[in-house]
Amino acid sequence: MIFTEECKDAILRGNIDQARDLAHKVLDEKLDVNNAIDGFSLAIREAGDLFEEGEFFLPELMRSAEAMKAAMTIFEPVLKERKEDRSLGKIVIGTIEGDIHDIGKTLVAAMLSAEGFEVHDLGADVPISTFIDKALEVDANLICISALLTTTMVGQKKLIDSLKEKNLRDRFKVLIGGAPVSKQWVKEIGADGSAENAVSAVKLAKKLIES
Amino acid sequence: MRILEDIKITLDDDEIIRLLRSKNSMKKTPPKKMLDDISKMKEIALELIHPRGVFEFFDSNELKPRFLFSKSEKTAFAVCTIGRELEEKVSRTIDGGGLAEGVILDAIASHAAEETAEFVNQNILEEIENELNDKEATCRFSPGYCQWNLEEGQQLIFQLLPTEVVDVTLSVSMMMKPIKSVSFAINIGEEIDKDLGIRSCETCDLVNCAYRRS
Repeated sequence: MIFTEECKDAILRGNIDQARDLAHKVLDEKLDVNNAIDGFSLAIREAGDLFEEGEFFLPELMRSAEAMKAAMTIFEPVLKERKEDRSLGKIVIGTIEGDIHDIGKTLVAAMLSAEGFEVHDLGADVPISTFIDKALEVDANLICISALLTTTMVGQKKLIDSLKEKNLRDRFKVLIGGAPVSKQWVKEIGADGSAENAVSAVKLAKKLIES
Repeated sequence: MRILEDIKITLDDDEIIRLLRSKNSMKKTPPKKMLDDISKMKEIALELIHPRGVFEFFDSNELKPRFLFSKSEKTAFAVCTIGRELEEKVSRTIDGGGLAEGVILDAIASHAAEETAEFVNQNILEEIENELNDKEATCRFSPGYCQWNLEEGQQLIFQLLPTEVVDVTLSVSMMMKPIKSVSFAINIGEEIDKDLGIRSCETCDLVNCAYRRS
């Protein structure tokens, strides 16, 4: 099996040990790290596509993300040492203040991270000021705000209003998510988009950052 | 007031699998590894699920909003939960890097909360049949659904029911804690709107809802 096929196999099977072994093999045999990461990246993208097409269940997608993370954890110190930045962009993500639903946002963060974004996950029940302060601190490209209730989704609007008040709206793209979020709500509050699952969130994040 | 604590949770694999499916997938059987994982996670979850519920009947004539309660004579309100232990386990599992196990446990928890609600629902229906002869009952409906404002509905239910007996609290943002809790109402009477509470995903605005059926 050629190396990229092995990477694909490890990620699509969600085989953490295999992914880790392959990453170590790249370093031990002084293979091209960037080529290896490209191989893994293609595979995690395929895992996302398989989920969207209905071929993968959520735990399978999450296992793929775990395997990807295991490989990247081994590559990251090398990339850092070489001062190579392969990050697709910086993202600050969290569930808005008053809302303690965490899992949906965490899955989105995991997929964003697996795809190559630098993700700063603030957790749940996050004040608006914390989102903005963190985004400024890390010079984020994108802020992702999750809200699971109609009573808490107003926080998404407040965050965007706060960015406008501080003349920061153009500095960050804002992606919103959560069960009550509709296209109409996105338009109403002036967000840059919404996604209905972790895979589509990744695709939208890439599109927004490229635009 | 009735408190139910002896609630048997069975956990139906098909329902757990449905919650773990991508919306586009209606056909695929899960791989054996995932089925094995679900079995293992069910064993863990069952130890951590502590289902309980409380319900009571109230006269409907002063309940608001009137468009929901005007045709009913009595309304049963209920709050039920599976407790905190399983959701804490989900958080610990995910924080520890076990995303796959975490999402399976979370799906199990969601399903267990619905099973608990269904058990309480059946108890209410039995009581209606035994003690409120010849009265019709709607399906259960929850704040946030059936044009029932979430804030208004949650405040009403939590004002009327002593939810501390089942250890469920309401936050200022109207979120129940533990998260895996369900609050609902059932209208009872001779001229009730029988369509109320029939949950149809096709007509629901929550297009991203985790429980939406394709």
